[in-house]
Amino acid sequence: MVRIIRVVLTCAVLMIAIQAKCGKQKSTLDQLPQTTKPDTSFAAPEVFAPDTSDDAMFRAADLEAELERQVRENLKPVYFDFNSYALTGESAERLGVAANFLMQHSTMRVLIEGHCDERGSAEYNMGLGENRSRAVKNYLADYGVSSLQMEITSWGKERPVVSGCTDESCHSQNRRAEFKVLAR
Amino acid sequence: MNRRGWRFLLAVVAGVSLARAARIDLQAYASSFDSIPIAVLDFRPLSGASLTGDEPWKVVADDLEFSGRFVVVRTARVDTALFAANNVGIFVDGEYSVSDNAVTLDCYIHDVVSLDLVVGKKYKGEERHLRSMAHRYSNHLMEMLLGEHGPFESKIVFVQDKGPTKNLVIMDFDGHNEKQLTTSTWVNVFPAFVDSNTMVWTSFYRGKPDIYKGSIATGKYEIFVYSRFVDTSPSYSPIVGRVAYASSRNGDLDIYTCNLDGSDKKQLTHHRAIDTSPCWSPNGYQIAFTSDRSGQPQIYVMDVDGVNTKRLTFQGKYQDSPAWSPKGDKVAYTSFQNGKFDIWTINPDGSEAKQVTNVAGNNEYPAWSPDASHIAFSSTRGGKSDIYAVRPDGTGVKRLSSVGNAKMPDWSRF
Repeated sequence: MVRIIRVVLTCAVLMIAIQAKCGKQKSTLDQLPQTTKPDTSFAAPEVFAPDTSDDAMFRAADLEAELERQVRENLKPVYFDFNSYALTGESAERLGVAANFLMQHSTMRVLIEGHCDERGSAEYNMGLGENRSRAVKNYLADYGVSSLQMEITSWGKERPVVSGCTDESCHSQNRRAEFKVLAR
Repeated sequence: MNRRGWRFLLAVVAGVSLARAARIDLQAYASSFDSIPIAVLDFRPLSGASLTGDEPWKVVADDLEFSGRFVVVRTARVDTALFAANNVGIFVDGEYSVSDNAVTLDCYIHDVVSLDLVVGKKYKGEERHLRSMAHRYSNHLMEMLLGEHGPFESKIVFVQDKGPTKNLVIMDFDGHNEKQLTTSTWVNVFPAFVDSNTMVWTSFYRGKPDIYKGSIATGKYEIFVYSRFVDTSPSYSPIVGRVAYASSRNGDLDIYTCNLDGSDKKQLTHHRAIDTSPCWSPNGYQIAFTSDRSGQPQIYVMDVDGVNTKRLTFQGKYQDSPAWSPKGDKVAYTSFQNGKFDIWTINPDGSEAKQVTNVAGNNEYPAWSPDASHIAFSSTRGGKSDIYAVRPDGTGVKRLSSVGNAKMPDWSRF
């Protein structure tokens, strides 16, 4: 008997409590239009949402820089002896790297520019520079690079890296073939 | 920008020739001397006229001296003792007047003995053209005394080299009236005259060498020989009306010719070697050029159809830049010997190779004056590169430009 009374009492207390809670909730809803900060608990996660557009820009720039780095790394200028367009052993090594790179990037098109040092006549050096760029192109083509990927031209002695040279170590920096990327 | 001031309408109002009995025969007088004695007097102002520019009589005296054909005696007024001491038989004097911004020059040749007027000429033009008027009179003096064209109204074009930027500059043959023809930020090289108003040259505007032509009067220029390859070193023959140039469109550089609009291209050399620097013989029958078919660059000549090729130079291991004299009897070129470049000349049959320049520095890119009396070239003898002129016998060297980075001159025709 005592147990029944306890159960009934408990139910009554619970019902009163639920009643009270419901009543309280109802009054809060009634006040809702007046409240100034209704949804602060839901606004918080949006602050920490990742900005996906920024991220994409960072990645594209990274790609660009990486490709430029690879171009610098793989398409290095090659140097020639005085009045010569023969490829040296060191040049052949560099051009092997360039060839592999160009074959991996088969959509890439490059301009190979031949340059001379400031000695010699300007007209003849136009021809010598042209021979240098063609020697590089032929080597790369023999390696397997498509000749459609390569253009050649000559600057003769009109665009030295260092001008006003008086010694061989300076002149030798100007006798070169350089790569310019025309299309990627 | 390039409207050329020198294309002014210089009115030769009258070529007055006042005949007198027993007048001195100018050509007979001139032919009796190796160097013709002539006095040039200061001109007299009429009705208080004054000149702001260069004095025209000094220009005339400078011109005559430059030609190397005269002994010029400069004096303010008639000085019979001075004339006698220098064997002078004729003197040039004159008068000038200024009205409405126009200068009138009356120029006279007088007989020293009789003081009679031999011949007078009158010129009228804007004061800024005073030097050109004086040059015109110098040319008339050459014609009257020697029966020859003088070079005194000719122009020299050259490349002003500022490293990554190289532009064309034109000046009078004596280095005055310097004017920039191109104002680009890229490389322009190897200028060559088509006529006194038109230029052809190599430009790297597209990042590779192509051949352009431009009008000095309008300042407009256009590309007319271009390919995926190298096109360079143009040279024009007014008799043939075609441009010779070097192109790598069929492999290494070969000599080609084409019309001034780039049409009708003809390949003249097919050698597996560098063939470049073509230049025409004055009669248009032959082309001199540089080739390294022997292993080193040397000067060759061939007929305009590409046959009868003959090697001209054998001394020295490196020759380039052939320039055929307008008289046809010599080819000037650059030769590398004893560690530096110098100007040489050789006969078109390969005989008589002669060194023209022989001083410190590199002397390169010869270009003949229209009367073949001088060779312009660039020289680093002053430390920096400037344009100089020298007579083919190596005398009479004169510095023409003073910009300090001038090279690759070409000299206009008359």
